[in-house]
Amino acid sequence: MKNNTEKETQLISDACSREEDACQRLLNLYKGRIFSYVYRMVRNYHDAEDITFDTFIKCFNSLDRFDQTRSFSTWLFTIAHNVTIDFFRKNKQEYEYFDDRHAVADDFVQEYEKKKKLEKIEQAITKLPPIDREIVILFHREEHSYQEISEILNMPVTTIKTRLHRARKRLRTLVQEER
Amino acid sequence: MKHKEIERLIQKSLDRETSAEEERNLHLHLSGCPECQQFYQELVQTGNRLRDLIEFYPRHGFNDRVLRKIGFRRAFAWKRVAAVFTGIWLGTALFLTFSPLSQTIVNKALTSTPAFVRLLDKIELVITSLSHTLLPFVKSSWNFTFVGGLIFSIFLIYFFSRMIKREVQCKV
Repeated sequence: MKNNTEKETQLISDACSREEDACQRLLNLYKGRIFSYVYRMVRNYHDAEDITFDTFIKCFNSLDRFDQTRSFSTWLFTIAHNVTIDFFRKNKQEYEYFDDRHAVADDFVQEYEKKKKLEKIEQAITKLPPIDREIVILFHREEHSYQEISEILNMPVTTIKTRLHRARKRLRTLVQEER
Repeated sequence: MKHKEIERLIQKSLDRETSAEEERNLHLHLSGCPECQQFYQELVQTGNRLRDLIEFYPRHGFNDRVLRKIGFRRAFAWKRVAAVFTGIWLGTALFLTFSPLSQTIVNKALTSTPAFVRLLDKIELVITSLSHTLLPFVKSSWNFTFVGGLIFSIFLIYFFSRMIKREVQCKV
């Protein structure tokens, strides 16, 4: 399991003591990672921003209860995952069966698609079921271990492994198809 | 080894969970089997692409919104007001100093509105009395106004630049 670096531990302690500069630095360290993770789940810029916002509010409000022996990144991603699930519930969307077609293509997506012509892999990810999408991003993009992903998603390691192996093969096929 | 077994080993290798011996066996098989080699390469490529996915960011001002919500910072609006005020103040000062039109406007205002004249008189009275009490070394009230104005301008410019710097830092 990834341990917090000494610098990060100090940063968390300072943020706990309500030091504005420490909070700013924690935000700068993690906002991109959390936002990207959430954005790839909900595929809507404004919703992703709201979820990221709620994630950090929850994080700062319960920072004094954070166990410093745990990985901060895992803890933060767990909050982000739970807030995302709440979002799906509130919007009466089935997380298990969330389809990318339900996501509103906002200006940001259109602009991004135009600029980058949305890389094949990015398109392929959208075709995976949300749980697999999450596992793939957490493992490959965020480089979390199986144990950490199991903590974040509250799922057994064996299930995560099976899903990741299946998702990898599916992604490979999807990328091949788009060639 | 069977292809199914190799596939399991490939997945295990991508999970960073293979032993040295398993890794050796895998690569031994891959070197002699183009089909498995291709499958392995494609999965590795997929993994690399996933790792290199770009990072998105929320809009500018996100940090401020979060910090404000958790009570770290007062509303930001007054700083924006100060910035606008500084801009207007500096603009007006430059206009009054360098434009010949300003003299005409001031003259017209002085002659047409007696209340404005009374207000200016009062301001002058305050400045003069301050110059007498606070800065006896300053020879005239004009000097006092000039020095005061200069200090005030420097303060506003300093404040304005600090604010811009902070905004830029938030963005970064």
